[in-house]
Amino acid sequence: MKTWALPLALIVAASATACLGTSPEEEARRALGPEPRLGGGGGEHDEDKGPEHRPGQPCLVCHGGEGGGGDDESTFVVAGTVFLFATDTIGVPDAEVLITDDVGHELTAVTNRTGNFMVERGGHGTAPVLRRDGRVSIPWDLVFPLSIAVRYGAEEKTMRNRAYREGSCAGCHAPRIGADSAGRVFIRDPVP
Amino acid sequence: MTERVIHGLVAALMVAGCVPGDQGEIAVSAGDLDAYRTDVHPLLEASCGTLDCHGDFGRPLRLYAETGLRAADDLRGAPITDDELRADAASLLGVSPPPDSLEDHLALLKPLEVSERGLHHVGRDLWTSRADPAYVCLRAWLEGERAPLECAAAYDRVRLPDP
Repeated sequence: MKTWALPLALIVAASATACLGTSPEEEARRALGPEPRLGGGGGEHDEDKGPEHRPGQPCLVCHGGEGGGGDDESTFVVAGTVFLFATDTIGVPDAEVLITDDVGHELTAVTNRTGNFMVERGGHGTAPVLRRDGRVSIPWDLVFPLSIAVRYGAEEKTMRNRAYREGSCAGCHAPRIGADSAGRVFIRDPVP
Repeated sequence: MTERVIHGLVAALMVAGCVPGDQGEIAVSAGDLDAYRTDVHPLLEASCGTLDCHGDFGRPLRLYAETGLRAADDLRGAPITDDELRADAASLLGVSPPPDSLEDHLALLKPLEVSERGLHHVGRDLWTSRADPAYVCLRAWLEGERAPLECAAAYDRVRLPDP
């Protein structure tokens, strides 16, 4: 065996395993894991691809259009989940998500039974069209950055900074609060 | 000879490809830090340092901010620290190799409109010209000077809501 054969094989192996393989989008989708059972209790159940599934997860990983694995029926510009308390595992229904974009477009989405809402491009005319399942269709392109507030009855919280490019709320608001996550989007502070 | 080259390639691949490079230390003077804290940081927090842009450990210009990336998990919700501000200032100073001219500093060219000889910026063109107050603000700080009025005017355009 030539003395250079082993080092050469190492180069090829390193290139193949480190530089090729799955795409970041595929890795992100895989990292979401199987559909969790709503309401806790562990385990999993059949994948429900409807608008109430996977509350709290980064929606655009699968529903982001280009490279995101979405289809024409479920490609969103912005989507996420609003929780009543930061520690809840299912979101709160009927919360309003108020979004203003960089050129002054305004829209309001209303969360569905699991707290999910979705903003999709579509419709005609000039006004957003609100649907009952958490979707809102907008007839114009949403221009980032976005100013966002959430309202539940008389309670309202305004996001302290803007969303500059991330369409999934959970992209920055993962369940775990930490250095790179602001924690869930929630309405009500816990009673001390 | 061929053997040595290949062994060298393997070593380079293992060292350069798999081990994060040591970015070294960039000194930030007390004056630089004070000016950064007062003049520059509010502007950068509101317009650059969100978690979905430069508030990301993987970005060449990595910025910490109270509303963005924190240096440690337990800092979430706490005011920005001096260590974080110092790291932001060092990140700005070190974003490109020392340019021959300040005009070529990446921190000034990336947000500048391409038609003004700026560079492509995924976060779009932010400054329309070199007269933009944000450009003047940041350039003054990079020069070791201050432009508080321009910094305040630039921040007013992107002012964050009160907590």
